[in-house]
Amino acid sequence: MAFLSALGWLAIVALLGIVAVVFGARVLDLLGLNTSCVLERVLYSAGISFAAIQVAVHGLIAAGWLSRGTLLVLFALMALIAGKSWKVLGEFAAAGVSFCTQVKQSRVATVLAMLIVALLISDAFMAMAPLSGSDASHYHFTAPALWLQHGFHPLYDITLSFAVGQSHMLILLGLALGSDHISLGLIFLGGVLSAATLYRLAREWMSLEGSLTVTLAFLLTPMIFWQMTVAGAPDIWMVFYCTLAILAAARGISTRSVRWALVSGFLAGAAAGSKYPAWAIPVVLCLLLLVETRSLRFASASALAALLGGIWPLLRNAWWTGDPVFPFLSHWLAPNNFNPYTFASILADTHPSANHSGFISLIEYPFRLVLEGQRFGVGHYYGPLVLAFAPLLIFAYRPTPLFRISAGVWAAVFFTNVFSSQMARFLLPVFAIALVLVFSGAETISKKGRPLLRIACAATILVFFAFGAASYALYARDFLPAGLGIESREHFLQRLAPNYQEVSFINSALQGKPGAAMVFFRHVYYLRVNMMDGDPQSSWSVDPEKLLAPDSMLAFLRKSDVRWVIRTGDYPDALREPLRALESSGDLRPTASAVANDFSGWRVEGERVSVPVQILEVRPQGP
Amino acid sequence: MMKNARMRPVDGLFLLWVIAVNVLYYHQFWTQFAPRIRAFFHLWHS
Repeated sequence: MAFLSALGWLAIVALLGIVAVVFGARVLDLLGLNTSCVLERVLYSAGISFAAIQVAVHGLIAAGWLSRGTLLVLFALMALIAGKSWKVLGEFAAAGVSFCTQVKQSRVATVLAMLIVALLISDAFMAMAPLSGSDASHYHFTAPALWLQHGFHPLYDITLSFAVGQSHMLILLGLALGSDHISLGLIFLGGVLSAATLYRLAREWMSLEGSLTVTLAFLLTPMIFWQMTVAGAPDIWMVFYCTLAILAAARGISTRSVRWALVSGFLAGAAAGSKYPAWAIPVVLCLLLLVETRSLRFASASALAALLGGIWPLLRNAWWTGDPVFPFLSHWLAPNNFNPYTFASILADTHPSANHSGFISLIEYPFRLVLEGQRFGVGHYYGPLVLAFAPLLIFAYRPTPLFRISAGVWAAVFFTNVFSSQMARFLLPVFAIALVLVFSGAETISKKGRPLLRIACAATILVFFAFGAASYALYARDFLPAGLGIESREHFLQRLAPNYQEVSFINSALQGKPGAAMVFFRHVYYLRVNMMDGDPQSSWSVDPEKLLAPDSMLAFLRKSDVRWVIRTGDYPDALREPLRALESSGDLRPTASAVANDFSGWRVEGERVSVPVQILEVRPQGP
Repeated sequence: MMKNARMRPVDGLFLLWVIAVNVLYYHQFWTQFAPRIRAFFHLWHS
């Protein structure tokens, strides 16, 4: 039954994808834009549609009109407007048959294509495992779910909810349609579209076998299969939008068509709207368009389209807080609502530590992000290929606008990362471009009769494939049984979702009881009671400086309608004293307790500990 | 192709570079995940 459900969710996602493609094809027709490559046309169609859907969903939730009904009307209208553009599906199928014939002529290409298909099928079912990712349970899914349930409003107790961007609207779309499995399926679809766009980019410079090799390398990269299957983060959509924006920009330059610049800008804006650092993409793209075309019209068209595609989260944040990139400028723009403790914690999570600043650290970063990735935003999850083949970049050079735009955008995003956050995970949007660039350098040099270089490249790729396959197997063993319905949802969540055992206990103990529960753990997606995140490291609402006195703390709890305080292990350091004092005075009274088994540190490392959970009731205010 | 094959000193440098990157990269993974990898392959049970 669970297996059939998974197939059903995937079918819904496929249907949404089909409607998006046919509608986008209609938009391309109306703009008078066409390409000889059917795959590229399908990708542009999907990119334009999904970027537009994101804008529409953000508008619908802001207006309070987001529901399954309005979404069904939206997709029905898209399907109708598509009209004769439905024929793009037939053209795509014919192109697929032609591609298979081409692949069959090469044994290497056949093997690579079969591996890619097998991997994608496995990814699809892995993505159907219940949501269990850490950041996903903290805010990627939680904030959209809370908006859907309680209306569109600022969630100050989940500070990262302000980082919810345009691509999160696809998560919201799935939730509004009735299931987080649809949201997870859409994230998987973002991965498939990213891989297809990477393949298309690679085909501009590389052979069929080389292009399939780099596509397989992409799919076997731990960062990629993690992001497109079980992470529950929509960031993989940035890879798709960014890579496609580059292809569109190159078309705009070579055809001197401002309309392609519009498409390119809109896609770059969709990427930028997903995460603050990704705004480097449309900015650099506009500058490169200006340099390449010497036309302010081109650059302005691209810039305006980028704003249309991605500015909405910034406007929302400015409307709610006064700071479009909340909380990073709130010290200046919204000083009355500034929480120095939480701000310091968020800065520490998104910036290099003090001992990694200075000139030498800037030089070291490109090496350390791969070779010491755990300290630099999980950069080791990208694999070693880009760094290993980096010296071959000089052989990747092509005297074409596409190469210059690709290299320019990649370099700009990379260097803004070096000089700002030094968090490798923010490099995800340009990873596909980086991979194609170094692989095309490797293929060029391999054809020049340099056996040592060819052997070094081939061996490195083969070792990485073996490593990627082993890492994938390690991951799949935990998630695939749940995705296939072999393992029950509840058993899977108890086993693999962080904080799930605490959440289950709280849900059953507080079911139907009035008042909110203050919790100090971050994975709150499955909580079914009104809650408030009380951890000052993640909650902008909790400023420890203002809650030092027990009376202030008690007043704060009552003002926030907190009736229950959930103690898991111990309280956060900054709040320990006032909360313990309230316990001693009887203002916090224990009502229930349990012991949960939970992860310690990163889930992937698999270490578990016992965590005592205690529910304390806040003494009601006397008459 | 082999008739035209050429080897240059820089090729040897590249080979050393690739070996160094690979060794350092996989070593860090082994350091982080050794217990899980061992458990996965059931090679060593403590």
